[in-house]
Amino acid sequence: MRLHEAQPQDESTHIALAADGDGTAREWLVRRWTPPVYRFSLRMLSNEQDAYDAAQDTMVKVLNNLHRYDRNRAFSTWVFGIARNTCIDEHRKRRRRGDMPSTEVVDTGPTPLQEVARHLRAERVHEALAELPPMYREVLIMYHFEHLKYAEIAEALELPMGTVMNRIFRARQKLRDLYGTNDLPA
Amino acid sequence: MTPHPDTALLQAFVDGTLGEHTAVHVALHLDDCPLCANQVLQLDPLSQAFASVDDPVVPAALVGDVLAAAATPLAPVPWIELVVGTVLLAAAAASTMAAGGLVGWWSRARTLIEVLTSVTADVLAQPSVSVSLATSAVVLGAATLMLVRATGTSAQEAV
Repeated sequence: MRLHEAQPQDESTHIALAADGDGTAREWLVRRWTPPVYRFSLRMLSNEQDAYDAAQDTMVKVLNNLHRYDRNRAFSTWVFGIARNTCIDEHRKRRRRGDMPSTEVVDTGPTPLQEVARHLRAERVHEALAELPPMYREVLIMYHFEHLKYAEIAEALELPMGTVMNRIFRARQKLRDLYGTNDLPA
Repeated sequence: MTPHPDTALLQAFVDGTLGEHTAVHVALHLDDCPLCANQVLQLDPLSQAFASVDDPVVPAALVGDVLAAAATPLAPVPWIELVVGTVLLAAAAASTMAAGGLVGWWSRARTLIEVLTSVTADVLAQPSVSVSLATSAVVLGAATLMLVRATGTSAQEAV
C-alpha cells in the first residue's frame, strides 16, 4: 500500500493545520508527499536533477497554496495535478534549452548480482516509458506506479473518464509496441 | 458496488477492445473492487512488468531542501527599487499636473492621482525587481499619454 493511501483522517487534520501555518503539520505533509512526487517527476522527466527540481517546486507550491485546496477532492489528485503541471513546465524549459528528451535509465540504487535480470527488465520498462509522449506516460505512471484510481486520474488531469480510458488504452498499446510482447516478463 | 465483470470482459478491458462507455463502467468497478483489480493484474502482462520495477531511491537531501525552500519568505523589495519607482511615479505625476494646469487640470489630475495612488500601492507590493519596474514603466507610459492628450487639447483650445 502506498503511503498516500493510508490514514485519510490523519491527513485531513494535518492539511487543515498546515494551511493555518502549523510547522509540524507542514513538515508532516512534506515527509509524506515528497517521495511520491519525486518518483512521479523522475518517471515523467527521466532525469534525476530535473526531477529533483520539479519535486521541490511542486512541494513548495503545495505548501504555499493549501488554502486553495478543495477538500471535496482527494488530496492525492490535487498534489499529482500540481506535480504534473510542474513537470510539463520543466519539459517545456528543456525544449527551449534545446535539450533532447533524455532516455537516461533511472538509477534504482545498488543492484546485487542476483537481481541483474530483474534490473534489466526494469531498464527496459523505463526506456519504453521515456519513449512515450507525456500525455500517455503520465496516465500509466499515475495508475501503475502511484496506484491512483481511474476516477482519481480523471480528477487530477481534469479530464472526462472516457478520455482517460482512451489514453490508458492507447498508452498500453504503444508500450506493448515499444517494449515488445515477446520480452514481457512472465 | 456493481456486479463483478466476468473474465472475458476483464480480458477485453485489458486488451483495450471495449467501447468507451463499457470501459468506463468496468474501470469504475475496478476502482472499488480489489478482487477484480487483482484479476486484471494477473491478466495483464504489462501490469506485471510495472509491478516488477523497483521504486527509485529518493535523494536524502530532498525533504530538507523542500522544507528550507518553503520556509524562505519572499524577498523584500530592494530600497533602490523603491527609490527608482518613487522617482518615476513622482515625475509622471508632476508632468501630468503640469499638463492638467493648462486646461481643465483639476478633473484630469484628480483622476490620474487616484490611478497613481492605487498603482503605487501595487508597485510597492511587488515581490521582484522586474515586476516592479515593469509596473512603473506602465504607469509612466499612461501618464505620458495623458500629458500628450492634455497638451493637444490645450493647444486646440488656444487656437
